[in-house]
Amino acid sequence: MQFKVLRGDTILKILLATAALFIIGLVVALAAELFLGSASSIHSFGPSFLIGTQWRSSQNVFGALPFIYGTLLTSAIAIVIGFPISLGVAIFISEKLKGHQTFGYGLGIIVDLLAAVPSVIYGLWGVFILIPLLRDYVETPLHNSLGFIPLFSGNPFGYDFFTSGVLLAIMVIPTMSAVTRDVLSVVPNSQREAMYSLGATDWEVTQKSVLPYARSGIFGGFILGLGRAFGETMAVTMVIGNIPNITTNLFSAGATLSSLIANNFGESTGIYQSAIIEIGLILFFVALLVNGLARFMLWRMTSGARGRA
Amino acid sequence: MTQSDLPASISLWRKILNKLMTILVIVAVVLAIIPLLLILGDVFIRGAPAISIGFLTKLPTAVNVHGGGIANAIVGTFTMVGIASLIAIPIGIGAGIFFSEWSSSRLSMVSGFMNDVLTGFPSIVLGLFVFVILVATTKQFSAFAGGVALSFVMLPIIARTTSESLKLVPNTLREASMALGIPRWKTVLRIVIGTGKNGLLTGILLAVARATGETAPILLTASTSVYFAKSIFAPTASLTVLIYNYGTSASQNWQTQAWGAALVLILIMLAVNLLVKLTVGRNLTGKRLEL
Amino acid sequence: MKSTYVIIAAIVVIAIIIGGVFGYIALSNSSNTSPTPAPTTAPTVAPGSTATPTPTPTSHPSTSASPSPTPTPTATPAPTPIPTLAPAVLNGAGGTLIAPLMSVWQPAYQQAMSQITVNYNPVGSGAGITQFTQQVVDFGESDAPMTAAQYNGLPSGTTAITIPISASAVVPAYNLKLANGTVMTNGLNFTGAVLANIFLGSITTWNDPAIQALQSPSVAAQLPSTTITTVHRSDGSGTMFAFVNFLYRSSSTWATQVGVPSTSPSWPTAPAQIAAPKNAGVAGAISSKDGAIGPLEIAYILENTGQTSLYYGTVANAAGNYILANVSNIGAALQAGASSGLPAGNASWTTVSMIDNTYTNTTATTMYPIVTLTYALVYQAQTNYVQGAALVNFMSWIVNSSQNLGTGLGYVPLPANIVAVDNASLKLVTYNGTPILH
Repeated sequence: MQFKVLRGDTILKILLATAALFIIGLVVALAAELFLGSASSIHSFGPSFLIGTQWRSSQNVFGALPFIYGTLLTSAIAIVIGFPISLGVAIFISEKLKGHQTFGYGLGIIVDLLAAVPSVIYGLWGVFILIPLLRDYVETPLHNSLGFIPLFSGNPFGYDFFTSGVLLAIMVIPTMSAVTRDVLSVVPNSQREAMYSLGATDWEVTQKSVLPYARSGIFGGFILGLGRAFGETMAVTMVIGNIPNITTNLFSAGATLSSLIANNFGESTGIYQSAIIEIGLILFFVALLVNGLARFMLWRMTSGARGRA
Repeated sequence: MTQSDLPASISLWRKILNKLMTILVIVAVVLAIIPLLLILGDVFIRGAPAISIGFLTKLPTAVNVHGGGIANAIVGTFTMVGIASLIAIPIGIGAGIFFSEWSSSRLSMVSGFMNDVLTGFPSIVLGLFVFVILVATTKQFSAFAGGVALSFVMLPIIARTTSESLKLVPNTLREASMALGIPRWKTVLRIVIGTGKNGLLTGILLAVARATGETAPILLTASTSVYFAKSIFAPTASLTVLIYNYGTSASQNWQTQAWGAALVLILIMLAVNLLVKLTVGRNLTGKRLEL
Repeated sequence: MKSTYVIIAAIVVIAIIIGGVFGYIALSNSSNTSPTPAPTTAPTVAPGSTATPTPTPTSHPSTSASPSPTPTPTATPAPTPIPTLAPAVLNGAGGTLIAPLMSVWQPAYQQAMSQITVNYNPVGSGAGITQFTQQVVDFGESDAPMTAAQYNGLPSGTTAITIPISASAVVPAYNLKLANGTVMTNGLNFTGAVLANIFLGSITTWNDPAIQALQSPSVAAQLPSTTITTVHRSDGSGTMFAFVNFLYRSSSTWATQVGVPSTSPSWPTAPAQIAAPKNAGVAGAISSKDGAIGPLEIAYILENTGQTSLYYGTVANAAGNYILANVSNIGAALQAGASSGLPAGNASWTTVSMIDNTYTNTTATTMYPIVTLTYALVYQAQTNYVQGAALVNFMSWIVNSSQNLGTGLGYVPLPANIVAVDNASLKLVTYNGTPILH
């Protein structure tokens, strides 16, 4: 009996470890593929590729800095806008709608549907509806009234960092709110009841007991949303203007690493294609760095706190 | 125990803060709903004119001929997402369980980190990867390659959500189960997963939704076709590639069909969502872990 | 159980899976390259062909390109169709420009040859060439001819045959509200030099004297002081290639600043500028911004019937006439451009440019100056008879029997002299050393 049980345990552990190892293997293979493809570009251009600011493919001048900037800026805008909204939606559904399960259920399903909308549709919608909307009702007033702040100093175009950030936010909200909502709903009622018995208000219950309990899960949703923001290609490409730019002006056109890949990969051959693959490699490292940073921050926040009952 | 039962001696600031936060949360919901309604409404308005029985059952026609359909695209999308799910669900759930139950092992930490990095990969790079290893080597575009590329998109989402859901299952359940002499593998499979299964389902549905909406990976691996694919090792049409090609074309006819295809896609997702949640998911009164 | 054993066991399982995958790949590869036995029905010339025989080019497979462009023969008959073709599926990939026309050709060809199905994936000209080079498709398609580097990238021992299959033109499209509040419709006049200066950023407003000088007095007076927003493609494109080709010839400043034409030109920084992916992106950007101008395919505008915010202007040709592009004046340009000679199919087409050929042509007074061919690419030596026969049959059908199917959509039928070149090129395609067509 003892032996049989141990064997069951081991088999399960091996199977599961295989799955985990597969993921590592996949990422390593992807990185290797990227390295191989970008070898000739790395060899030809060296470090100037990373810090260069000019991208002129017909003259073999490649600089990735404006695109790194664009990726970080648009993702930052997307998270700054999207994360609080996702959190709000999740809190609303799991805390405020306690008596109205079906409504929260329905709302949840509709928000999830947004996750299924293809990138291209977001892009087309962005071009025809979001850009005129933001340009005329948000960017122009902001520019006119707060134009002295460097963030809003440019002439509102519509095709800019700001619109891309907003569109990305809309795209990451379904993922982040779905995960957060699920995580919040599993927090045991005993946690909430304990806080109420101490005389807490609704918000204090949420803030001090529910959210910290679910902190790791919320972080998971955050990472998934961030991943979507980094990697999103088609929709961003259609609204960002595709002019490499490093500026604090949110209303300026820009470009991201993935929009660069989306725009040029199909057409490229030879050393140009190698340069594009190196951009993919840079995106990989940017994602690595940001993820590492986020994990480090989470470790700092949770070391010492207990997340389980 | 609710707010109104408490004594009235709560400070004014805390009351204001509470109200403020309630308002902010409602604002957040409104801000989330507006674009949602705009997009879904737009898809519906632009796509509804294209929908008909013929649209769903016929093959595409020439650009200037009305009455074409997306039947092969629907079949193609189902096929590829199906293949992707077959690959990604077992591996993703397996990895997720490992991250949660053996979270202190070094393999778990490294793999978990790699998983997060994988979520941030642009899908076009994943498509390129599969193109190089499957399409260029066999000199054949195929629905199978498309499915493999999509599985790489789904995998990290499923793994992450699985691990997070299972981590939230209280340890007391595990300890109680082991104390009863139930072997660890049964504990994990029956008790832990059974309790956390809603989270797993959410993750799977999210991943399926994401995969159904992806364009770039299948553009590079499954190519496209105006006919039904003869086997999974042949090029096939798909809803997203069709939307991409038709939506960015000049023809009004094709553009309307693109929005129609988008509407069909969303309706399929809605159906899948409802089906899964109603049959396998939580019941409508909700389930909470009462301890 | 020690965790190291667990990890080792996991690695073994993964190795088995990977080994299986590679085994599958190896097995499918070997079945692909096994030589197909020659079919029992050999292709024959149908009796009773009436056309005069033309000198057939050398039929043994050549790995080097023919040295000089052959003068185009005046009348080459269409190659006789191969009487019985085995069922086949042809896969092609290439530019998006031809996609609508391809969608018309596919069902029409099915009617003519029901046993052959054609799939076409509009991934872009460059990707089409890449997939052609990697031999994952039967034919590639591109709006720009292959560059020298791309020719060098072909698998060793192979030769590509370039076959123009259709043509189009690039027009300056704009969205402009005039000073009197009305929208400027078709017909604003442009020259190459003025267009170059607009895209260089040296002409910044619509009422610039340089633009006004080209218009009739009543139009010139109505030009507003709106800032010009230039729009161009952000992704690589044969359309852009043709447009910057024209600008390159029109302005030495452009030539020095931007360099030789390419599918991804290094656009100068203009004060107001948007780059958008695909024709749809460019059209969307132009129609959403008052004062925007950008190069678009004529087919794109003509297909988009009923739209009210996208109009296009005339361009002056070498004879000095302002021409508003339409099927007939594009056809005139093609005729003129091809008459100065095109290379043999298996030669290098890198320097072929209808724009260059017609830039100084003052005798073709009605021609539109920014026209471009779009090309199909096939391998000269086919490795599979069934595929090869289907391929040349399809190409021959496109070139000879279906050119008029696209005129309603804005695609210009190839003139007779280009058709003749194509027919000669198709006869170069061989299997095992013998031409498939006679």
